[in-house]
Amino acid sequence: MLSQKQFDEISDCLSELARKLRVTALLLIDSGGRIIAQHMLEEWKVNATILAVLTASTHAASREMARLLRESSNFKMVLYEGEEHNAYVSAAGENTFLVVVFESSVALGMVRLFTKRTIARLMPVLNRQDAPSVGMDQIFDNRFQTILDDELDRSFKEMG
Amino acid sequence: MFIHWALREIHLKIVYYGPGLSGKTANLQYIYSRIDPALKSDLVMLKTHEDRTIFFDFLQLEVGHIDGKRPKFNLYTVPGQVNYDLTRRICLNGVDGIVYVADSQSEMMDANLDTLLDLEKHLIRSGKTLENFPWVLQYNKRDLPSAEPLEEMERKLNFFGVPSFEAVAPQGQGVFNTLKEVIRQVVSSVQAQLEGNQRMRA
Repeated sequence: MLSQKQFDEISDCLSELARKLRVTALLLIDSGGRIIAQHMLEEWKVNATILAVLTASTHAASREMARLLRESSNFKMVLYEGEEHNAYVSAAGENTFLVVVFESSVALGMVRLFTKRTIARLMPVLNRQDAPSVGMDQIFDNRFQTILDDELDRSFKEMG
Repeated sequence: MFIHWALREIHLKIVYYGPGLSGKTANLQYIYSRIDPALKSDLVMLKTHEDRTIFFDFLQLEVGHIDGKRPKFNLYTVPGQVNYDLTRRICLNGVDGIVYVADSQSEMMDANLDTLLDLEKHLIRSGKTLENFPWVLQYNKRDLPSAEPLEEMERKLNFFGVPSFEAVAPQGQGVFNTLKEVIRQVVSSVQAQLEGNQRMRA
């Protein structure tokens, strides 16, 4: 479970990277496609949830591809080149990826350089085991199931 | 399960599993069509040119806050066709609960069983089995004339007495009850695990 302190430190790292590069979006995601932290231009209205899920799934598929090609580990980075934007995905440890979406006019070398530095800063934060500020038993207390049932009924009331 | 405590988000991954054309995508399409737009993501469907799922379908649902916590349900389907075995394994990575969508047509009984055994094979790889994992059965296509009697389907597929539901997914019959029950099973399983841990510490 990520602590508030870790989250703040990660957000700082992403903000700094965004300042240095003309990035459109930055997403730090886990291998399940869940967003850990993000930084996105306000005017770039893209569904980050879907972007994260597609990126993580593609990475999982490429891991199998690497295995088929008898690579000893997964491909370290993936680059998607577009007309307007590029997306650069690189691993930050075993189960985390940094997705950098940037204008295609920005030099890839610079993106790679600053991304690498950012990942080096992120790794100790991601690997740190902060004491949880809340226990799992407090999250999933007895009220949880009851309220969840009510909320599900309310949300799906028209589904029948 | 993924808990992002800074954002108070609790992510649960639910996978719809079953043989090809059993109605996994139909479940997600119905949910997507009926739920309040404020509570859902786009429905992503990765298909072949023949309109069959090649990788997965994905839909994220949110319900209201629970004491400040925000549960998010990430719903996935897997491709049912036999040759997409590896893709199914990828999709099961980090799964918290499974809806097994069985095709009720008599001629599909062998495929239903084969795919269920295929599911267990993948679960075992991550140290789980059908006996110790939250899952529910959905008997879909109950409206078809060749539908196997319910008792027969229970006998052939529900060895472990998991909750089961009759469904006609395109019409929404059974869709909500199935989803609600699998979520309930996942939360109960987490709570049981926590109680077990507490007993061990005591």
